[in-house]
Formats: sequence, structure tokens, C-alpha cells
Amino acid sequence: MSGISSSGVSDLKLKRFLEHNQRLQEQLEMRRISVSEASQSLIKFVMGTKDLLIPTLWGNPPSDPFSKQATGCCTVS
Amino acid sequence: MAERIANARKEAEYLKDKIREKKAALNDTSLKVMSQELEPLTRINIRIRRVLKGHLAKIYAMNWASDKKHLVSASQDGKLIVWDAYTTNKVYAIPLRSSWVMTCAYAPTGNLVACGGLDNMCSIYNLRTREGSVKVARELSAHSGYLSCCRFMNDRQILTSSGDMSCMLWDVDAGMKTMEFNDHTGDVMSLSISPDQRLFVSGACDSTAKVWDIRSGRCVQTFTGHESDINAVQFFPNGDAFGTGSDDASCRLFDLRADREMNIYTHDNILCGITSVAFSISGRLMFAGYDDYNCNVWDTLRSDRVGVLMGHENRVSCLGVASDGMAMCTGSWDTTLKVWS
Repeated sequence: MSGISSSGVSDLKLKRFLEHNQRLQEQLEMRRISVSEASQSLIKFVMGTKDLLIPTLWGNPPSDPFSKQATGCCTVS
Repeated sequence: MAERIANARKEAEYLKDKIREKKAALNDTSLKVMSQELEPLTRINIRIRRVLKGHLAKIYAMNWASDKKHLVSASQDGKLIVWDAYTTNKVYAIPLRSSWVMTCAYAPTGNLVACGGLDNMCSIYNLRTREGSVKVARELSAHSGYLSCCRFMNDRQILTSSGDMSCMLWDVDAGMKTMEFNDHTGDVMSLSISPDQRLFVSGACDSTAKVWDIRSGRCVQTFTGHESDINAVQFFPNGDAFGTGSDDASCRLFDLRADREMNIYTHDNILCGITSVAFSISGRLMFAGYDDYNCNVWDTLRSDRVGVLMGHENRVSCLGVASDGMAMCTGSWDTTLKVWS
């Protein structure tokens, strides 16, 4: 019993090429936006979203969740 | 037959040229150039607010809970610890069957946590059992390589990435995989789910990042650019882009709609690999953990480095920003986690 015949190997090779080309075709047809449009969109989102890790742009939070008071320590009198 | 193969080869070259042309036509500027008119950020004032001590060996992974208060960490001391990040209390300390853990995740509901590593499995733990104790709910086994990352979509579905070069989607209740994602040609190191949960992005040792459609299992986009293993990927807050960190000492930003790299974050005196990346809630800041024990903070738009968070005595292996954007946590091989704000 022989292994895959040489024509079998060619069939596989062709199949793989055709599948690869199909994916390339899909990539070609894919709709892409320009770098300027993508950049504008990213900038718009960033500048429009409140971010309390950047107080110079968005101010300080109303209260500091990490201040000692927040943890409710008890005092011993 | 030989002629058909030759034709197919020619067509492939033709298509690749056409794709290159199309992409070049859209390359009209750069994010960096368009951000020049924005005010540079003055050095950000983020400092250590809490130190979470308790692990006895290197910490490999951490993940915030959706309640913005709790987080889970995994260490090769064989434990998962669930912390209250504000009080520093340990809420649960879960002993693991295998101590070679590489990843952990917190389910959005807070009911479950998951972890995995060199045991090639993803173990799910139920935190809210009727009896009150934490129990193993499922052991998801199908990967033939180490588990590098896991992320819950909800209590029923979890995504995993593996050293076997594949990613898998699992039905937690059934304990079985429902989808396999194959296309990478190297160990997959990290994954991040899009905010609308329709897609996820993966980063691998083949230097590429791939975007996948969760329903169909197909790889819909592949991003090249990195020159070495990608160790970390994280979606940008609005889901239109994602950040990556690599052994090539750079972080990059890729945009899905433009289908290309938008920015690179690097410096001549940064020579070590990046282990982890995360964005602040607006996406303006990108936190990146490095092998040189530091965390660098980048202005995502202008690509300036706006801060260096020095606080660990060994590699920063993981980091994450809480969902309300108020705190960032780093985990390190120095056995501690630090919460910054």
C-alpha cells in the first residue's frame, strides 16, 4: 500500500493555495477607514470620557476612596 | 495541475499587492501627528495607596472584580487569594491542586473565579456555595498545552488561551469546550474580550495579534508589526482598538477599523520585555508592566511616557485597572500586589 500519491499531494497543495487566496480576497474586500478617521475617532472618545486618574484634565474625585476614613477604623479611647 | 498551482501562486501575489496598495492609500497621517495639538499631560500623580501582602511566592496573574473593590491574584505558592483592595483584607485564600498557575480571572457576577497553568486545565471555583466554603466547580480540560490566560464572558462561558497555539470557548456548566480558535503559529499568551463581547483579541509568540469572531470561531483580522512574542493584549475602552506588550520592548496600539498599527510606545533606554498592559477608563493612559521591575505610563495619543511607577522589587508580572477607572493594581514576582491611585 503506497502513501499519498504525488497527485494527492498536488491536490492538497492546490486546495491550500485556493483557501489562502480566498482569505486574501476577503482581506482585499474588507472595508477599512483611513488613519486620520481612526485617529479622530480615538481622540474624540478619549477627550470625551471622564478619567479621574488624570486630575489635571478632569479634576479630583469628590471623595478619596483610599483615605483612612473610608476603611472605618475604630478608635480606642 | 502544475499550471493551476502556478496560477494560484500568481493570484496570491496579485492580491497581496492590491491589499498593500489599498492600505497605503489610507495611510494619510499618524495618530501621533494628529495628537500633537493636544496639551501634553504633566507628570501624572499616581502613587501606591495599598500594599497587598500575603502570597509566599511569585505572583503571576491578577484580575479585578466588576464591583471595583475586589480582585483575585494567583501565585506559584499554589494559592488564589481574593482581596478587598480598599481594606487589604483577604476574603478568600483558595488552595490549588496545581501550584504552577499562570492566569486567573474573576467572573463579572462575582460568583466564580478561575485559574490555570502548567496543568493545561482551567479550574473554576464557586465562591458562593450554599455551604459557605469555596469549592472546585469544574475542571475544563482539552488544551494540550499550558493555560496562559482565561477570561469570563459570564458565569456560563469562559475563554482560554494556551501554549498549544489555540484558544477555546467553554460552557462552564457542561464542562466542555463549545468552540476552538485555531490560526496562531505560536503559543498564545494573552486574550482580551471586546466590550460588546462579540470579539476577542489574542496575542501570541508568533508576533501577531488576532481578532476573532466569538460566534463563528473565525479569525477576522491579523495584526503584524511586533518583532517578538506578544505577552499581553488589552482592548481599548471603546472596543475600536487594542493595546499590546511584547518581548521586543515595545507596546503598540492597533485599530480594528483601520486594520493597522496606530502607535508604538518605546524608548531607547527600555530594553526589556513587557508582561502586561491596561488602559485607564478614557484610554488616554496606557499602563505597561516591565521585566525591569517598573510600570511605565504612556500617553496613548501623543505616545509620550508620562510616568514611571517604581514600587516593586522584582518583575511586574501583571496589572489591571478597575472598571470605574479609580484604581490600578500591579502584581509582581516580589510576592506583593500594589494598588495605585
